[in-house]
Amino acid sequence: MEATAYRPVDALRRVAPAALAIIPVSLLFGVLAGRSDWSPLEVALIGLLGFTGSGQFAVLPLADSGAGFITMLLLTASINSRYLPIAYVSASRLPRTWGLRALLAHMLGDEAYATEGEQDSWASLAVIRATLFLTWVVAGVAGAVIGNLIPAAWLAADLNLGFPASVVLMFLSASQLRSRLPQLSVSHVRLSLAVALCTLIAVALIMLLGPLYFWIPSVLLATFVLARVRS
Amino acid sequence: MNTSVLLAIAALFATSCLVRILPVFVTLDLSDATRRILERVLPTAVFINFAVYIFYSEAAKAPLAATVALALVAGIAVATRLGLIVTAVLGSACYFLLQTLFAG
Repeated sequence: MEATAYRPVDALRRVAPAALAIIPVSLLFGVLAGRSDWSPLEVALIGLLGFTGSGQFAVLPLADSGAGFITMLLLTASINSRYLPIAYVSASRLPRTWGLRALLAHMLGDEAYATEGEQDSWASLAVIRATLFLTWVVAGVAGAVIGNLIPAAWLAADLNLGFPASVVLMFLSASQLRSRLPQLSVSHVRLSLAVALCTLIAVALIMLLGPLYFWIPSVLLATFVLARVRS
Repeated sequence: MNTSVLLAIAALFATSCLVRILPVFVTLDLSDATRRILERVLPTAVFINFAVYIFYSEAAKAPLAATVALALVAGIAVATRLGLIVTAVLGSACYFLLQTLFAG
């Protein structure tokens, strides 16, 4: 499919809500890391080199307890295994220059993938991914800096700071499904049944394998179901 | 710099290389049908799983508030042309309002 012209303002306008929504999550990571005696430089490095919300939160207690490299690698690779198919599918929209290609691949995140469109040029992808990436890193460092200024009671409060980010990802996922499902060219009833089956499979695998390890089998099974219903 | 922190950073960077960077340099010789599945069907499967995962993880923390708020957001996204910002504000407000009502 042909990529559209580079429209940085349009890309920025589309990514801005998602960027705003991840700020509280990254701030929270920075605050928690700061309270575990991580310096702002260390928080900046883990954001720049790691760049994964769930993975960063997962290694925080592991690093505190002195876990080894292999343990942390196995855990974070399992948590982030969902990026394998996403990265592969979106690779065709990346530039051919290997350095830039690798950098943009590294900056891939859930919110970026859900914001990007099939017709976006690689430059628009760069704006979307870099905006989310830099927002995440800067907010994390800010969290580490202000972490020690926040009263401990605030952190103990039952306030789900990550919910706005979940809302944004849900909106983007539902919007993507609204535009993608009709492209499968299947009758409405068959499509609804297939989506319901995929949902049930995902729930069953979450119950069976847990929310960290269900991704790959669930995505593969959903792909199989949707491919079968198309044929 | 703390050794444990350095190991954590190294583990996350290695993870990024394995799951995000490596796949974009892999070229597979695929048939047209397989390519269509990868380009059309696989992303749809990913977004179905995103939606289920978000529902599950948030409902585990606050079943009623999360279910109502996320159903509202999904409904708005599918059935209306309301933008992301307005929807995000509505969904978050609904969640925190229900949380406050049922916590008190």
